[in-house]
Amino acid sequence: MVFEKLLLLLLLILATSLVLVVWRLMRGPSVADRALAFELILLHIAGMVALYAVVAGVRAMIDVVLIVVVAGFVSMVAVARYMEEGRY
Amino acid sequence: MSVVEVVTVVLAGVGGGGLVLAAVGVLRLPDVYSRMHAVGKAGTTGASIILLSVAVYERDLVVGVKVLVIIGVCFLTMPVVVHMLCRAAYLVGVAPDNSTWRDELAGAYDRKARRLRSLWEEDRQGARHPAVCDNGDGRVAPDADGMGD
Repeated sequence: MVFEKLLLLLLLILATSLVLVVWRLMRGPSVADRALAFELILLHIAGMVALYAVVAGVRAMIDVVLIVVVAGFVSMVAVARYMEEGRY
Repeated sequence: MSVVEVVTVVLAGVGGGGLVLAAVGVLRLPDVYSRMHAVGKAGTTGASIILLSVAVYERDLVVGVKVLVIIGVCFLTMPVVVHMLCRAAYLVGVAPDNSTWRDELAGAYDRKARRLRSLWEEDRQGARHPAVCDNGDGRVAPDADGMGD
């Protein structure tokens, strides 16, 4: 019981820090700032989904984390290449 | 709470603390090149430790292998991503913060060919001369032997 409460508290803390990152995502002066903030958002999602897998007892959620990490890598490489080629 | 649950909560707390630190760093650090450190180090480590806590809680071979694979992918890809983003930012001319006191890449990038070159070339006697480098803003570093490249 205490265990679930603590993990839910941790999820709440992570959601709060997610708000900080979203603030940077909206403010970020350059595209690279926003891309970095989005990468950190993906890491937050990975951690929160992993915690949710423990809280809800759904082991299949671990696969979701793998997909999020790999998709984040591919998309961020694409963003970096577009920045270099497109000069914006 | 059993021992396993205590270890899980402690590991998840440490990982969550790392993610919160990364978020504060991304919010507070002055420019892209320093925010890179927050995402690349604190963020990766935090998420990996949270995943480790899940593996400790489940005590299952399949879940453990999956978690190890995810951590390996994280540690392989995150430095690449962060470095590519900051290289792109430098190439499109995102200015570093005023507190930056040395830019060792200044003039070393051939922006047309997108190649990083040494500012110095060695001749056969081992003496060092400044290398030719078109840095894209009209300034060309002095030619070493007067014969171009």
